[in-house]
Amino acid sequence: MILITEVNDVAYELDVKEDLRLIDLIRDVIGLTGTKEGCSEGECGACTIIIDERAVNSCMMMAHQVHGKKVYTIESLNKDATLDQLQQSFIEKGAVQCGFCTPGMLMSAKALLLRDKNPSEAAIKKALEGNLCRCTGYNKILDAVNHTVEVMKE
Amino acid sequence: MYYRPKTLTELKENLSQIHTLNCFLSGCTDMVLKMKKDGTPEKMIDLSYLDALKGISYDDNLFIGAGTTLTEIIESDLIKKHAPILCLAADQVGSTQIRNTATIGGNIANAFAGADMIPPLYALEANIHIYGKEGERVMKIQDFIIDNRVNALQIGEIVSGISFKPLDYNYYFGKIGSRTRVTISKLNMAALVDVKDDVIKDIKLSFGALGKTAFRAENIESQLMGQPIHAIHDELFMNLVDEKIPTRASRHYKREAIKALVYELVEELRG
Amino acid sequence: MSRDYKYIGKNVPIHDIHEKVSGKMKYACDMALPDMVHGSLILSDIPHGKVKSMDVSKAEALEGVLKVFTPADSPKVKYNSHKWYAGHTTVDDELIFTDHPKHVGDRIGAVIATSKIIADKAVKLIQIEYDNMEPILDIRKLKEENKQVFEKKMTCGDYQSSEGMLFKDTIHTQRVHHAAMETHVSVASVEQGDVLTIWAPCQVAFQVRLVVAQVLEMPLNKVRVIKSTMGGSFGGKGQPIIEPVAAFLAKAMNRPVKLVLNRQETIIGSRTRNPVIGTVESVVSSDGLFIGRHIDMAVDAGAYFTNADAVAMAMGKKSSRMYHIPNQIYDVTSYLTNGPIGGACRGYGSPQLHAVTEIHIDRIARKLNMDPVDLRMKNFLKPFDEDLFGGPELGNARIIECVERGREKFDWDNRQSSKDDGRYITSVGMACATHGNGYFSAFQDYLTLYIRLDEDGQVFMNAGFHDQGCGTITTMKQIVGEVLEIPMEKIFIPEVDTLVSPFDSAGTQASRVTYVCGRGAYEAASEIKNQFLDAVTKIHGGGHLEDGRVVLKDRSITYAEAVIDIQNKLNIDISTSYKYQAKSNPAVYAVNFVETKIDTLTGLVQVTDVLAVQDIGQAINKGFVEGQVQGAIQMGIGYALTEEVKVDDKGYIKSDSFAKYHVVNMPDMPRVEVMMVEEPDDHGPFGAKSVGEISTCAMAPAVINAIERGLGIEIDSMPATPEKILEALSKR
Repeated sequence: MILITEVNDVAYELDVKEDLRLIDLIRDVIGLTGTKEGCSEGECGACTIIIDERAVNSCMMMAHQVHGKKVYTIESLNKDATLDQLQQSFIEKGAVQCGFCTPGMLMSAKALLLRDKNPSEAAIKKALEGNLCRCTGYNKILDAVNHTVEVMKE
Repeated sequence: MYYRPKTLTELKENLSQIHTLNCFLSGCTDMVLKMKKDGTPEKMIDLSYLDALKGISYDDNLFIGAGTTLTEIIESDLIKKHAPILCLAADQVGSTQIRNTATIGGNIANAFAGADMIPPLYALEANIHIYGKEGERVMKIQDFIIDNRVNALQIGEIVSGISFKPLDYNYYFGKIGSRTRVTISKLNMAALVDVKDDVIKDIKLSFGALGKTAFRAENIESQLMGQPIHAIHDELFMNLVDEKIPTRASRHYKREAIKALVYELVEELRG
Repeated sequence: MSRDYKYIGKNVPIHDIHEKVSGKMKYACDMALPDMVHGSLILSDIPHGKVKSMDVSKAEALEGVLKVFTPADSPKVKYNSHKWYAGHTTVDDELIFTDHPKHVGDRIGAVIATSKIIADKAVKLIQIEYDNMEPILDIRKLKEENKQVFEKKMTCGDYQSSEGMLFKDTIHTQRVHHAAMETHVSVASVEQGDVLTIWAPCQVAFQVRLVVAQVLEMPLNKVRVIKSTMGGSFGGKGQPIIEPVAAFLAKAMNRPVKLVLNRQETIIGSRTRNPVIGTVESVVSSDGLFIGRHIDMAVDAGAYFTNADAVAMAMGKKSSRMYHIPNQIYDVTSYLTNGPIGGACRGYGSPQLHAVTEIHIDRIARKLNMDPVDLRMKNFLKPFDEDLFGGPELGNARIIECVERGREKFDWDNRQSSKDDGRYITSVGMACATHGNGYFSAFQDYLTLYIRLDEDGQVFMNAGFHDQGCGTITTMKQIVGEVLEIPMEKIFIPEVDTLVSPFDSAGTQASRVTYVCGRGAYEAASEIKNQFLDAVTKIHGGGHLEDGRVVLKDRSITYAEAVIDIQNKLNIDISTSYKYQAKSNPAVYAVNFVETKIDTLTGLVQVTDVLAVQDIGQAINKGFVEGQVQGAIQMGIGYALTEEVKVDDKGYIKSDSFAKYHVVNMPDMPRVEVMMVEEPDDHGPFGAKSVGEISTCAMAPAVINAIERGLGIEIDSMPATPEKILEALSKR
């Protein structure tokens, strides 16, 4: 079945199976492997991407559900050489260890900041409640998002 | 086969092509899990492109399209005004990502015993609007939910929306899970209470995850009607647990933990 | 204590952070090789039995399925994934595929297909008929029947004749899942020259090579293991679990094979932290001195032997390294059950040992009406004290200082009382732990490092390094940079590839990497620094290094200019293969002070404040130390409160998904303040000691102690779920 979609502002017209999940479309068909699969049931958030300025789990959607829609993955955050402020803050605050949760964390945080330029710490925690990390204990991730908010204010 | 109807006419056409239940995709948060276990249905109907299932409107009754996401419910001014209990409950479902895609129609049709959106709809005495190849019908939510994960839909039918007459009452929704957020309810409770001068004029109480389906605690409601707030006491609720799940191992915990919901309800009513 | 270092102690982000934040980092699951096919495992859905028959016809008929492997196809060589060096005596009881599954999740076979989706579908189409056998799950029963597969006793003094007040507790710890965000994954391919090449996120590439060569009966030099980027391990990828399977399948198919486990398969089919039942009996004087102690540990090894011996011993070895206990017995037995397999897990027995003993010590304090910190302070070992069980020297053991400084910082003495606002109780607790720094005195512990100063002035170092996401590569760069006075961006250190990396005896195990390998890096860098200066002296009559330049009598030149001179004039390069052997294995300590907020109505506990004090020796990278500790505290809270791979009384696994296995998420995670006590060790690089494992060993008992103190209850079995807390409250 033909699927017409845009991923990171690139238009695709693809013939894909009806039972393909969105994450498989992104990773295997389009080849954007920054989006990760950690649990396949919407619990860990490693597969988080953005559709309509909202964070969603790409393991919990079918590929054909993005027909006619615009999808943004981690690879969209710094298409050119310039890092997004969130990525910069993750580096500055040392919010990355193994990095497997990082793309999802960044996309959840990005979706939050698209709609709320000045989120409270509680709002940040809520936006990231669906993203699990086993390495960092979240402290530095929270610092990084808080820092991004501060920088954006300036 | 993958159908993506954009209009009700197209939907009707597609509905006549299918011969199984459980073949609808919307937010997909429950369906993906189902498909992981049972495989992909041969024919699927994707409801997420149907504008007819979207939207919230108010005209004496509040109508919420089945395709409304939980995030849209939380952010809707109409729902905040007329049924804030739904915002409260929706906010406690899953994670941000889940709420961004999961729909109210899906939550209801999935008919999970621990679903968080169902008890508030019992309290609101909501009607479930069903659209099918044979036409439309409306039924009360308690008739719609038949058992844990069993609903009243026939083959070729979908939930198209819910409606209810808003009640300008005090409201409360609470749940107990195994962590603060992103947790499946071990117990949840919805309450709509009309209190005047410390007296309970009307009360609608419903529970989830206490037995196979949500239910209205009519016995407690009738005992509290016309009583002062302090008549709401733990015993009533602990007895309810004993009565509903007399043999379950989880009874011991739930009969204690229900006190937390009672505590919060009373706090809410006292303001 | 601040020393004048250029790179040591500084906050430098992990070396590959740019790739990680931009989604460009390739993990094994992202790999695609030409002609690659995909595997899915056929796992047992019963806890114990024999495979009577397998109907694979529907799977084989599915388009895209290339082959279905059954137990009949399995190599016959039995092995033990725990075997990490040649000559290591192990109980070999594991097969690639078995017809006698011993736990839910045991490997029965695999499907190879052109896509992962097809392979998964095919597995569902396979029908297996089993002869069910009675599962064995209760280690108490096995203990009564003396059915241990391992036992050991360690003693010092004379426990039987020690006199004083007697205290006794029995505490159960649960089975937990490592919960690395990356599941288990491996890609294998027979490459040119018939070299079986395996890419895997692993902790011990040379161990993977050893086990694969053994199972597939191949020469070691024809097995090449390349460590891929690690998406989290915590010991879970410390044993070769699916690497031998992927290697076998690739060889059998003669095509590259990618094998990725999903979360459920990883929970049930990889390794877990061993559950234990620990009984501790202490003899204490009326003024709180520990006179004697008898620890009796029963370890549930799960369905295969793996490290049933090693983990049992590792626990015991920690019991004599924190308190002065003149008369002590450590008795341990391990049992095989039909539960998920035990294995390495961050702390390797220490979290279990300390859960049992530190909860017990708090209870003694309450019974003696003493402050639990005061009681501990009376009994701690001092720096350079002796380990009465005969273990390696404790070295600069700074537990006392950790507790003293933590007590003050946390304001422990003023936060003692629990305040009760009707529903919530806020209470504080603490616990201490000790761990090691490598294998010295117990097992071989050495590595060879190749290091070269290139003619462009940059450094290349090659050794068996595995970065687990903890920052090993950056740590090594900081060490080498400090020694050679060279900026870190001029140093390149790849991760291990057994084809080209020098040998390393143990990989990322036993908290040895910074302490042992880091010291190796220090020595290797020092060796080429000497070579470099000697050569410079030969040419220029003297010189020294300063700010990344070679300072001569009358001028300074770049490293590049100096090396070019050396190569041209002396006909040599500046490089060495340095052999480093561990020289000690001192104790390292962690102390956790915690505040909990307990909902007495629901039994839910939130940890609201944490101070983690680390006896770190010297932090090489402060940010990494904090990151390790904060992550370790997250694991510790889960261990205390929510995490359990639940096996029901029939052997079925009840928590095989993240929906049912709750790790702590951001809303439940407190701020963790990390305090570093920096008193250098003699043999660690710049005095550094370990942090990754020790930091998770004290947290669970600290939380349990806070709950017990706050509520006046006893939690005898972890985790302290709301159900257990309310039950204990109702019995209070």
